[in-house]
Amino acid sequence: MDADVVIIGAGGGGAVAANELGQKGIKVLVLEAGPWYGNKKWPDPNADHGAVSSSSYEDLSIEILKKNFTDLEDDMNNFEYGKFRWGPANREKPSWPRIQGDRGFSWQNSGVGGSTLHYFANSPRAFPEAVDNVWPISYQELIPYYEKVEAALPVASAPSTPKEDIFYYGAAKAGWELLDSKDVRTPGYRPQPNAILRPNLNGEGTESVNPNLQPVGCTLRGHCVNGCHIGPTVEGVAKRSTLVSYIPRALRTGNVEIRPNAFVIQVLTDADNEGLHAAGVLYRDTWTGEIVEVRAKVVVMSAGGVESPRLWLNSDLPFNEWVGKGLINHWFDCVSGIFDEEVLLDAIGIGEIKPFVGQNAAARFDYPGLGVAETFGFSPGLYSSLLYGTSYKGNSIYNRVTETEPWDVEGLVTGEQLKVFMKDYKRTLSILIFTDDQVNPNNYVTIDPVIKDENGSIPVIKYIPNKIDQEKRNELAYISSDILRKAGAKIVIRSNWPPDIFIHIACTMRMGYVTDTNCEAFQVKRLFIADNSVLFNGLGGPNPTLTTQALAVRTSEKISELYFS
Amino acid sequence: MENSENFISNGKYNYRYLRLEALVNAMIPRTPDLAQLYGTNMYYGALDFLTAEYLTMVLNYIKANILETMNWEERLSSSLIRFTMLGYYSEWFGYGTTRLNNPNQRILEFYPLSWEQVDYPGPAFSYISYEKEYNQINKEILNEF
Repeated sequence: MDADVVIIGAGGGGAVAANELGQKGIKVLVLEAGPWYGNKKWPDPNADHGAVSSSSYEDLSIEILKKNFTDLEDDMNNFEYGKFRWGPANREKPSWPRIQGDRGFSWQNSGVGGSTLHYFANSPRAFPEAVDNVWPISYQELIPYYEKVEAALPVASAPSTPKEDIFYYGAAKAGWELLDSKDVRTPGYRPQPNAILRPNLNGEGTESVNPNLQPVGCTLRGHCVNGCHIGPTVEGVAKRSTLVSYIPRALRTGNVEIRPNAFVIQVLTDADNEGLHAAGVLYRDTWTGEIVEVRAKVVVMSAGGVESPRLWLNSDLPFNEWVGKGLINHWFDCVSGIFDEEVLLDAIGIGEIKPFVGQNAAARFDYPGLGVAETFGFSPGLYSSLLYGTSYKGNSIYNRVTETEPWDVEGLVTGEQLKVFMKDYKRTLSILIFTDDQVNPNNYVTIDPVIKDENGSIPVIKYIPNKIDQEKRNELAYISSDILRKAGAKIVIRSNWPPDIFIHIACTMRMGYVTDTNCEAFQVKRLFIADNSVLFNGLGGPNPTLTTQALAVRTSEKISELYFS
Repeated sequence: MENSENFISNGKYNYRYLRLEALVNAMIPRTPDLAQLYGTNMYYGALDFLTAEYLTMVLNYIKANILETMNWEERLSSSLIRFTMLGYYSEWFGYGTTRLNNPNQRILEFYPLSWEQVDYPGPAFSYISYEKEYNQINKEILNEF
């Protein structure tokens, strides 16, 4: 045995499971496909193989993290060769391929921290009505796990900068209520519950991180998506990706070893009187191509909504018609408003919104039954490509907006018009929409029957929302436009994103269908799932990470009770 | 990855490169009218900031990623638009003489002029002075409703 438990993936779910199991004295080996930023054993993680693994808190280095995370958006977030791409650490090699619809991309990160490296750290709970009498477990059962993760990250109410100020102004003027509960049952707006240390030069309110630290907290510099490195130590970094929250804590248990650059290509099983059960994995070293076998008593899949079903299928595990099926994606949209300086001065006392100032998505609007709308803003390259360069409605110059539609422009914005709109970048407010889309077996992740890369048959992602999803999304676009208008926007632009922008990829290995309520696979004992794929549905629209993390805590308890008590 | 392929070894003005130039020029053109209204820096467009070179570089990555059997050219039309904007409005042109190097070997030599066009000051350490609390906003701004 190389470990008690091997965890596949050090992202939003896997890092939490590693810590929880490590805290219980269980020996854990985490295999992560991508690089490790901010660690002395990999001073230049994109250029050199570096060490094989690290299991020491002392290896973490804020100096190296600050060197790795450059604040530059093409360097960090270019979808093909950025440090936060879905690909190997070595940036001379291409990213890992996926087959998906024409206009989209799947925005995920490899690396210790996974997609929490670029995430906005938004940490709302599921809508209770989307869980109760729907999931195989109750909302009430989730609450203690939510509370545990909220305290550990920690989660707090986001502070406000001009882009949130103007959103609150518009939402209040549009007649919506301010929500004051974490358990959202009625529509309204609220400061974002997020996992970002409060701007706080005294270190107050951050004791749960580590009493020995002197965290400076968030400086509102607007680089959540490009990689936060603000803090005196790795563990004290303001945005609480698992790279800086659960991973350091896991290392401090002394029971957790993490190997980056290790792409798991097969789950190994044994059959005995217990039946078919997981026995280990094979992984491929992404630098050398060497295949390594690892044996463990329990295997946890935390490879994400695309790679977990892919790995199941590539491992020839028993047929289950729900593996990969039921993909939800919250079919995003984006609605933006451009404001005049005088209007902003009147409304919020400052003439600019500055999308690059403040936490990237710090105010939200929740509507159980429809979904979510949240503000967002960041540096201009990504911002323009998402606002004006992403649509499935074609070029806006060919789209006639009807009188009943509350926006002025719909679709791609190019040419002189793009330059005119981007000239007003500093007075633009954008709202991101997440639709409460429905689980549908016709939306899925599978493997291509022919095409392989070095890690096996490549994933195919298919997602076509239905009419109800479309209606909900439209309604959210109307509400968002109305908020922008009420706030005083002179021009409203609806991007109308294609369904194939994959960001909240979930429900491809659902509890109740692929796993039991302990998140253990029905057909393969000792194989657990701790990532977005195990969610039963799209939570009603809320960002999935917190719920996945809460479940990962719960699953770790189950693993400990079932196999290590 | 040979990023310099197609516009150095094969000659910059091959057919594929010209097509990309036409694309980026249509996406983000030179705009003399805007220059008259708002100042000289608004004249420049994607041809001036070599966004076609950027696209060529990105395409070489995508080509290496997507296996021959996949019909990649067809799939890329919309990605090209997104990448044109990322190339133009991100820091990329500011890598100057190192812009075509492997991404690990680029050095930001200056801020791109596109940032001036949108009045983006570049990364800053802190904007803490903008901070407000929701309650404060509620009092100052929202109490009228």
